[in-house]
Amino acid sequence: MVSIEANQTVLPAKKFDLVGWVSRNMLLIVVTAIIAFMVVVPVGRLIISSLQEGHPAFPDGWTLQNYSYALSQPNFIETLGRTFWIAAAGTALSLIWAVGMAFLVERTDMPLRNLAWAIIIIPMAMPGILFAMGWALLLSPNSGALNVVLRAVLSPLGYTSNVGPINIFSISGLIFLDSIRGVTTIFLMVVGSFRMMDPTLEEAAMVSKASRLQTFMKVTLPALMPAILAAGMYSFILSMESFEAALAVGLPGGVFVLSTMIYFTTRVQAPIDYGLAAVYGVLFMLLMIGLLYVYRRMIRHSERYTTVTGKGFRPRVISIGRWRYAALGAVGFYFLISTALPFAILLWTSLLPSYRAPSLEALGLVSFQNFVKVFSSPELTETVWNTLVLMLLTATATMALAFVVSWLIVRKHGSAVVTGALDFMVFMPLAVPGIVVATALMVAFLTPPLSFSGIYGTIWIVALGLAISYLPFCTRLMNGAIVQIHKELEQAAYVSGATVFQAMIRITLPLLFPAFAAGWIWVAVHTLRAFAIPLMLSSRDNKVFAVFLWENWEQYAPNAAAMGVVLIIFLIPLTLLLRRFISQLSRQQG
Amino acid sequence: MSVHSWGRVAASLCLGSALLFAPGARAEVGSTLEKVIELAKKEPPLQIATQWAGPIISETKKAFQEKYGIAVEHQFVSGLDDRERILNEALTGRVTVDLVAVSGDLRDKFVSAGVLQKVDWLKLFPAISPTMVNPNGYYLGTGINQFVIAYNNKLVSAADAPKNWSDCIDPKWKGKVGVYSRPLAFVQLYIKWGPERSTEYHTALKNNQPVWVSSPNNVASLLASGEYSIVCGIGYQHLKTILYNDPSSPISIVVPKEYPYQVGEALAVMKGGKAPNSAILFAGFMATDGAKYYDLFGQSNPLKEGTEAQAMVSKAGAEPFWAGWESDGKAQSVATRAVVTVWGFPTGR
Repeated sequence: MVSIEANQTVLPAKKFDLVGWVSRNMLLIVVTAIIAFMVVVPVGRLIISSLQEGHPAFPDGWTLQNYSYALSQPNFIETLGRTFWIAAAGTALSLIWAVGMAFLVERTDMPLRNLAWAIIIIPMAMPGILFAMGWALLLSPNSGALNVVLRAVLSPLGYTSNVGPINIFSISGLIFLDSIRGVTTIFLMVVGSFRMMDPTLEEAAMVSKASRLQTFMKVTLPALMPAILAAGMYSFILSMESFEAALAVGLPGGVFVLSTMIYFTTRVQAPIDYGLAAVYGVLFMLLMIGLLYVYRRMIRHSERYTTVTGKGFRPRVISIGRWRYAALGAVGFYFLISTALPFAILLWTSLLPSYRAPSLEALGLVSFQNFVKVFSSPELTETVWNTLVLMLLTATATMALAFVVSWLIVRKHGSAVVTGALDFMVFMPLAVPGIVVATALMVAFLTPPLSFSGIYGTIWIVALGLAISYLPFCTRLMNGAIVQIHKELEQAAYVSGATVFQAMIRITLPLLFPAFAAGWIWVAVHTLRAFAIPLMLSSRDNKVFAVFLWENWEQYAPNAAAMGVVLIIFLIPLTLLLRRFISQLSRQQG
Repeated sequence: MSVHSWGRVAASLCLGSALLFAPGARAEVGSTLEKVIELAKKEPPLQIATQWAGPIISETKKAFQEKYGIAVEHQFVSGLDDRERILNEALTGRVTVDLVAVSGDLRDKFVSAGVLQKVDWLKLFPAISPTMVNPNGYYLGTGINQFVIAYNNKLVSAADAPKNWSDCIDPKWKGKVGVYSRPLAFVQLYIKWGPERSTEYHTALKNNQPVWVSSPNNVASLLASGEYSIVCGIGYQHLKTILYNDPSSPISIVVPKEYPYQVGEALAVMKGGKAPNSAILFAGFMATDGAKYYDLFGQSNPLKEGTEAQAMVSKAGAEPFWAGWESDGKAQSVATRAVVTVWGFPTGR
């Protein structure tokens, strides 16, 4: 006791060395500051606007009226509940599709697995508005092309109605579209886990005389459950924000969800109610933060599982016998409903002078006139150039940032507090809908001090908005990849005299190239088909192809359909490249 | 470097940025037509923002260039978001458009925001009808929105097609009516009919189980596909674009007896634009010699002799109705809100 006291009096209290701390954490501080700026600008602007009256750039004063009005809306809770239920049902179906197909392409002897892998991710190339409108034309209850065929098929069985049998303008129609749209994201997030799963668990079950189905249900699925649930939660959050399908097939049936409710209460009637829009944004964000909390807890488990996979084993391929062709048929059916049918109706529209239901009579009107118009548009060259610049800029900047952020988080470089804050912040944009990000950036960069930056009205502000939206997915992807790279490789570099930065760039980054390339292409594809952010932030000098397509959609549908066809044809090779890099990543990790 | 030096650098950067991005000196605006023309010829190409589509753009650009030797660059704007963006930009001193077509429900807001240039339209262009000039002196009405009923001629014969708004609520069309979810067509009717009759009408319309559609283009596509047989209340210009490109489209148009119309293209000169004189000249051109080009876009004046709209009205024996400029802005917002409330849509404040 005495000696302890003596020590305490002898040793001087250690002073906090701020300069040393800053120099040790310089990279972390800079990156955290960038992310904080990217997150704080939209979120902060949103919260401030929700408490203000009048125009956000020139507010009339502070108020809580926006909140009291929003919360007193009679349909708010009901709409929220409906949105929740639609997103939950859609996500559950997406999970069944995505997990089932991930299992089939990675773990079974289904024929044409490489082709199947590619066609599962092709739907990513189709812009949401075209997909939704395509299905509206296919399954509208009276004239939907598929309904007409179904009625003809069912007629001998006694179906006599002139309507249906399927009505896409309904809650179940929304769930259907939601479930198809969610598959690609979930598939991309879980497929790696299937490939990397330790086969000894399944082998043990087989040795214990478990059947294939029992093994799948009791061993494979539970082992992958954290990864599956995490992907499901991510997809659920995206579904809650879903807008295009809700507008194209929900509105005709009088079905309102949160996104369309916000749209109609704040943007359809002039003047736009910025205060109310901001309140809905804040409430939505709070809900999403709750979901994010659940999501992040799930991620923790999934990453722990993924770490186990770096042992260099290969999972056993399971023979599914005569079910092989049925499985291939299921994947083919998915391709039909997710891509082939909506693309076919889009292509049909693009070949006509104005829309007509498919018929032999209408076939006589088919021509390439709309494509000629698109390619001879004087705006096309500049728009395509802007689009390519935006794609390169957004994909490169987002992935570079995602790589550094993930590296700092996974390797726990620097202060644990700052790393933790960075980890939280980088996922925050997932809770902020794109339209909110765009509005916040517009207001922020139109008013001092950011108005002096001069980036408003340029491609840069669109790239910034998109980068903010895509960061959560990209960091998730890079986190998973960095976990697979053993620390010892970097430590060996340090021992050889390399700096932290040199090790990161010369050792880690090359090893992560497939993941980086996969993320780059994912961002590029999403950038090319994104509508909400470019629409809000575009002006005369920064118009991109998606905005051009939207304008045409507002003016003359066949032209827009032709542009959609061109866009999808351009995007499909990009998605196939994505498959190649992900495949390379998996091989490397294996 | 000392703290003071950093401060000086920061202050210089701020000042430099402010000077770099500050709007330039305001251009002089002519007080006579001759002066306007003279100044316009020295200005950069005119930037206009309208909802035009199709040949009206190239034809007016060509005609204006021929008459005055001034180039025009067109920017497409649709709905509220685009106009709000132009307003937001102007509020912060960023003016990229010289002449803008402001939609009815935003006209008050543009004026109160102080972003528009007042012009003595009648003094500069005496040939313009005084009814086309907004009494506040900012807007010049050029293109006219007219709201029609449409039907799919493969499903409905001309004899059976609805002739007036009351036919849309006939139960025989139950489940066969398409309606654009932004009720622009019913604003003038709301003002003419009053709240009580309007509520009664829209309740009956809702009971007819219409299919609400979110864009005029989709309204037309689903009509052509046969999803519903008739459309009640759609801007003629949207159908005109389709019929111009495809005269054999299965869509036919009915000019209703009560024929609501309103100024669709209310052109206003933006304060701080680089070509205000060209903007004035162009607006005046579109209200006089250039008005004929609105026939190409379905926005000609139904009261003006020789226009397509006037011929349609005359043929249908319709009575065109517009409640005047006072039906813009707040009045339009009130009418819109009242209608969508009856339809059961979520409504704002």
